[in-house]
Amino acid sequence: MRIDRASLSRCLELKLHAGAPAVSQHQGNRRSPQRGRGVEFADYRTYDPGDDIRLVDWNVYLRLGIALVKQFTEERSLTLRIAVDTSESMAFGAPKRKADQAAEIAAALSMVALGQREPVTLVCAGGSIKSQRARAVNLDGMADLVTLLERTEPAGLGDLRKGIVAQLGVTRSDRLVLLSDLLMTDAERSDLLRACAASCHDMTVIHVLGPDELTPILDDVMRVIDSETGEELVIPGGATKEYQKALDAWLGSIEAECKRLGITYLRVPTAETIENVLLRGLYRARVVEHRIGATP
Amino acid sequence: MSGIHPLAWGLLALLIPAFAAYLWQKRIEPRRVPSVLILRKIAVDREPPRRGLSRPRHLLSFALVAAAIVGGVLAVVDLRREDEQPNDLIIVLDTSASMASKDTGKATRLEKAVDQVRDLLASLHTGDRAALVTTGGENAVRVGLTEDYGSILDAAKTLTASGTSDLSSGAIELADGLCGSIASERAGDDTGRIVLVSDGVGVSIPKTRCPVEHLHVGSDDGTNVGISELSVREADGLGQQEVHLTLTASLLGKRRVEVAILADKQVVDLATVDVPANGSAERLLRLTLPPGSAVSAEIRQREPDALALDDIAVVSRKEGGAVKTLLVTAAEKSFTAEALRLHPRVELTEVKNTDAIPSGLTPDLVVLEAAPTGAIPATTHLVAFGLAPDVAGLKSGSAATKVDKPEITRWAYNDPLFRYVDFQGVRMPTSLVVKPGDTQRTLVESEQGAMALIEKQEGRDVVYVGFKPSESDLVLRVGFVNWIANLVEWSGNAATVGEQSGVLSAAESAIMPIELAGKNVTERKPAKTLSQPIWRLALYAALGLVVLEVLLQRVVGSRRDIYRRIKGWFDDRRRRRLAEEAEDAGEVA
Repeated sequence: MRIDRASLSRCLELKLHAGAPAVSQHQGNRRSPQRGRGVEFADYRTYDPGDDIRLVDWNVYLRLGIALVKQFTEERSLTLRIAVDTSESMAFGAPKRKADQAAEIAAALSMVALGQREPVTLVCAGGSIKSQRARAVNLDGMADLVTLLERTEPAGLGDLRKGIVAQLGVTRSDRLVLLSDLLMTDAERSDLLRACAASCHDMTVIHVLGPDELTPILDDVMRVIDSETGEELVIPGGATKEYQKALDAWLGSIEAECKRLGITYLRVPTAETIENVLLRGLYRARVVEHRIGATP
Repeated sequence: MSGIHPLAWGLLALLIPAFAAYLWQKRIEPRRVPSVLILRKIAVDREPPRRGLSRPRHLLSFALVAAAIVGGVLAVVDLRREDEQPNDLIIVLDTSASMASKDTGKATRLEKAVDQVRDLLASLHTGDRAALVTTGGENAVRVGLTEDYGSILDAAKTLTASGTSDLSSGAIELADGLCGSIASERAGDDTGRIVLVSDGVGVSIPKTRCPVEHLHVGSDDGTNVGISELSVREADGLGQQEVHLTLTASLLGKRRVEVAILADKQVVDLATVDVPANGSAERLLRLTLPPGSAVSAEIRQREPDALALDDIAVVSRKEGGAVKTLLVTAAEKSFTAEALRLHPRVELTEVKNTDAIPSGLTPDLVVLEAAPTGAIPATTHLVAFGLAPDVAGLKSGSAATKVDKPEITRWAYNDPLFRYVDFQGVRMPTSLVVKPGDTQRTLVESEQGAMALIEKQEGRDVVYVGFKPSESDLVLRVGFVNWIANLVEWSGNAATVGEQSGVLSAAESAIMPIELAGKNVTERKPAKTLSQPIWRLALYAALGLVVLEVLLQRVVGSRRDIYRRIKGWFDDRRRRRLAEEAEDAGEVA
């Protein structure tokens, strides 16, 4: 997949939007529900043997004779997981392929997160080759993520859900972003969305679509062949309106399902620029925000 | 109208089934889509009808239009053919040394040029005449205007590449003269043309009456290093020789080249020269060469280069007999006498100015440091240092004026008399200066006048020097010995034995072909036979059809895309608005 590396530096002006306290094990600058070391006082609790005596509030002890230990709010990082669909259908699209659009969005989001030292896990799955993962905790690891994206090419057909689950494991993350064209059966799609939604607190589906899906040329009768399954169909001429209805129904069902599962849904055509995707789509979807809180 | 070549008909006949097969392939080939997930809902369970594809119909119409254009062009070509007059062709073939370059192929440029000549002759028609003029070393009309093209080709095949292209403009003027004779023969009709078949190296095209076309041969992918200058001279009076060597290169990058210096086929030195990618590098070697008649330089390199002619250069050495020299001096110990004695060719007779000059002496060179007693013996070369002009025997020019601490402003450093002599910073207490006459040429000049000059007299050359070297610091420099050696060479009538060979001009060694501005023809003039243009036109038409087909698809496809994109945007906006209204309604409820 191809990535425009030069445009990535603009992403450093953004940061991930935190919908809930961070739960990762990495120290960072986000509020977390954990109590422990930190700078912001949270609460007292009674002293237990083994506690660090430096945390005992001696003023209270001298006044009341009770040993209380001060607790602080721990600051943790947001964990971002990005899953990119690499099935054969992602190799289509114009002016750039859906896979390239997805890769550029994934790289941009990784840049946004790593710019704030928030760990990123990237998974490429759904193709015929075995799913692959790369992980980075700061900008030094960005090259690994980009290299994985650039080396992976969309080909064949695999089980996207299994690939993602296998690579992400059982731990929950703060945010999961799925980049796919969702060209799969309704049952497969439901399984995928449910599994992904269960593995994180906030999930975003970025639905990448090309002109082949949105505005196909259907004036003439033609025989079509499915790139993934090899299934052949005959399409009658002048079926544009019927196709548009079927497309609307398909998109509507996906949006409804995402809404039901609490998933943020964003549709991105391949003709959309990455700048628009980040500063309009993802900003409005409250996935990213400006570093200093201003409107990007 | 004459008939079209049958091969062209054959080609057109082949194109039609090929085009039909292409359209058929397009029709039956299924279109690959990312997924049939949505398309499945609108698919039908039947085969597409035969007239399912509309686009090929447009293409067929384009093919017909293209065929009509081709037919029109052919008709025009055919009509023009009938109006054509017999043409005469004067071929100027460059046979300079650079035409021996092989570039990266096996054939030399000259061989390729002969092939071009063959093609040119093949394009002529009955009644057309041709002539062959060659240039390279010398210009010659090899074959005059004739309809016997075989004789021209035979003459061209016998040519070998040598010499330089310096006379190329003369050859073209020669060809222009022939062209003028054609015009007069045919009542002023300009039906002649000159075609220069050359690599353009060192060639210049003068203004001519007939049009000159340059048929370019050679490619710029060959590399070459060649000897573009080799000269040998005595460096000093001690028998040391100076070998001046210049290498000219046309390379892809800098290279270190080894050059063996040989004296009569015996290697005497091995010089290493760093030559630039495109340009020249010079080396001056001071060698003590054994006696011999020739000095040669041979480039030794592992990689073969395009031009072999300039890899070995031979230059003959001057051989002269003894130079009988008479020195008249007043000094007990003369620097001039010592310098003369150092020269191996000098047979010196030193005479005090107070003594009488021996009778019967016929010197080749007389050097006067002081006025002699009695008459100066008959000689062909006379040099006078620091004497009055009349004593030196000058016939013209003004009287001498004495100048204290004169400053030399200029000297004839290009003159053979001053090779390796430098007057820069020479200090002298006094000098006589004169204003040169009509028959005199200034050699050394100061602000006040000429300090040295040369006068050609009947049967005698006189070099007059207004100062005495022994009074200046010139005698302490090696330049003084060289100056005296130059004077001996000047008077010694040394003869060159043998001929020099292999030393090409720098322009020939820099083999990079040059396309002459404004007069190039990248390929030979279109042949008058109809078959070749038809072949070419048919090919262009076929390519044009394919390009049109592709462009048509793109243009039509993109227009529809734009329309659908706009429509999709409006639909999307409408959907969102409806969704927002539905959400608002839900919240209110």
